[in-house]
Amino acid sequence: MSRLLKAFFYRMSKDLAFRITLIVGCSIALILSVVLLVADLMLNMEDIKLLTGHGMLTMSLNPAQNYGIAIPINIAIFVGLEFTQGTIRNKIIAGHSKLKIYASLYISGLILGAALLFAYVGFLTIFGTIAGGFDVNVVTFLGTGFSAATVEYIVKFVILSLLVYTTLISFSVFIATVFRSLGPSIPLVIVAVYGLYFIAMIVSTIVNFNKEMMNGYEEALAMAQEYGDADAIAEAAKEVADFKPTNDTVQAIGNVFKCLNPLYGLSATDSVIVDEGEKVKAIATMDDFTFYSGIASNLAYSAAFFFGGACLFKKRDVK
Amino acid sequence: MLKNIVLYNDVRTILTNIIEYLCIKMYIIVEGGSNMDLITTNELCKSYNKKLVIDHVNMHIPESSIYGFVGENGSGKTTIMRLLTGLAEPTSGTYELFGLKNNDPRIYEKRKNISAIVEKTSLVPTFTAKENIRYFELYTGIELTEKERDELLAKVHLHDVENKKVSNFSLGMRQRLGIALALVSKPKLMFLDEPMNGLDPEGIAELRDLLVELNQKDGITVLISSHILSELEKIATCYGFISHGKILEEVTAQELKERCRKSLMVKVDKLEEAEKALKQLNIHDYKVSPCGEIQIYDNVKIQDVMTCLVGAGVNISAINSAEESVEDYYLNLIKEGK
Repeated sequence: MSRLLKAFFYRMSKDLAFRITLIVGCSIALILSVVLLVADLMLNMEDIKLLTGHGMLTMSLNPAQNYGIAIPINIAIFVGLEFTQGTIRNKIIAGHSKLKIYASLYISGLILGAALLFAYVGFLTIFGTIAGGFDVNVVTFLGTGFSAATVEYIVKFVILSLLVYTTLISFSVFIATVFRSLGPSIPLVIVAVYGLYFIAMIVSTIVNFNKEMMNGYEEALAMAQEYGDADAIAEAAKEVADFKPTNDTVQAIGNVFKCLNPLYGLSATDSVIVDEGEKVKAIATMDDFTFYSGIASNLAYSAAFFFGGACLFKKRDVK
Repeated sequence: MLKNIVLYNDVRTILTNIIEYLCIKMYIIVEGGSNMDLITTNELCKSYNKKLVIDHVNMHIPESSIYGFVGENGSGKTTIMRLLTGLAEPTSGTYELFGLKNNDPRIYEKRKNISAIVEKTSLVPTFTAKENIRYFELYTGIELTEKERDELLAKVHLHDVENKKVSNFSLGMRQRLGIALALVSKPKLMFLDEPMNGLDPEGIAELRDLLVELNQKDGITVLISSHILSELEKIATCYGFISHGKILEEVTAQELKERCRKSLMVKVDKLEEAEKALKQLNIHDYKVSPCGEIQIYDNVKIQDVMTCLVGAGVNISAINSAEESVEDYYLNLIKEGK
């Protein structure tokens, strides 16, 4: 298998699509960084910074943003070309088992994806950190402030993002193997990524909106109780009582989606307000259920796509 | 102590080799195979969408032979090559390569001795000729020197375009590069499916000479299919004739030569009189064409035929003896099969 990997790395090093994506990625990162830096300098807001390491890291890791989608597309092209150019046939004729070929294609895809992702994310995160610090005590895109909660969130987000990319790369390798061409593979990858992200966003909004409404009613009830206003207590209690059944249903649906949708975790970022006296911070958080169900679903999908693709490749004749 | 260990290891290796050799020999005897055949197929079948395209094929390709695979378009030549190279799996039946059955896991190791051009030359169009060779080297685990790469490209007359992208190559140049790739691994067995496609007459002659040289010098076995039967005739040491997925016949070149019927062609002005005269001479195996040609297959002397026809008042405008070509033989075989 090491021979196959060496060959794929050789091919990758000369791959035009890979080079173009890398150049485009670095260009986007540079332009974005400069634009945000200029905006920060012009706005000169004490509490808000657009360009920070934290903000750039979480934004650039999102697979549904323009560069993120380019990664699974690149993998689909890389694998698809092996089929359309017929070079995969040479490898079978040369005595490599189909399972080894598929596994090495998969590993090469992961490495190719990692190279493209780390170049982009690394550039933006380092530039953002140099320009605005990693975690500035201000509200940024997702709301951040340095605390244990932020570190926990970053760790969870990075782990989940890498697993999501693993799932998307597995899907790309699988779909390119199914169709053995570039034609249907690329649109399917785009539809899968944007489709799943869109669904995740809707579900996330519904679930969070519902939860926030509930919190609002409960806070109103607590306030009414604090002031001892009997009418207000009765009204708030009624609203809480009326609201609960809907809330449970939506939460239950949301939980199912969390388990089924591999991209849910990345779109399900919640924020909590932390009052630190002088400053009020909005800290991004991800609950444990979202995180662990994200890990489980991504591992399951990756394994399913890998073994499904390998079995299909082994079973089918090579054209 | 170290010496003893080394000696012990050597003895063990020798004994292992002897045992392995004896096992293979016993296997050949028990299985009824022959160590002369590099490839054998046993009732090999392949169907696509329930349609049988390879129908219980039994082939025997002798070691160090050039096996000319002859058949019409869609007869199953390419499918058989795809099955033997591992690109497709048989629906039923088995085949043996280098004495190993197709479902034996050790066959992957043996496949390293195979190279093939089946259907099309599989190249990376964005690579140059040299980069394609390097790519091939990497997954076959062969390390050629720069000089060897140059020699290989010179062998197929691509040395002057080594840095040109394959996407700018002509069909013939691609075919030549495909042949160069097939030679990288110094194979023991080559599958060549229509390798002469796209080659100019000079290229065809060079490929022919190259194959003969590889076969005679290095003992490489070649399974080659081609529609240019006159070219196959020049190099093949044995033939397999296939039609509609069935092997019609397997013959050696020597046997074929003996079987190809000799004939006498006479061009005359009066066909009816000529036929009467031939019958008087006790000639019955002949074919008459409307253009005034009579093909006589019976063993007769030219002088006797001429005397007989002239005596019957028939004018002879041409007469010559001919031998049936592989093409004629194949066409007759198909007719008989039908």
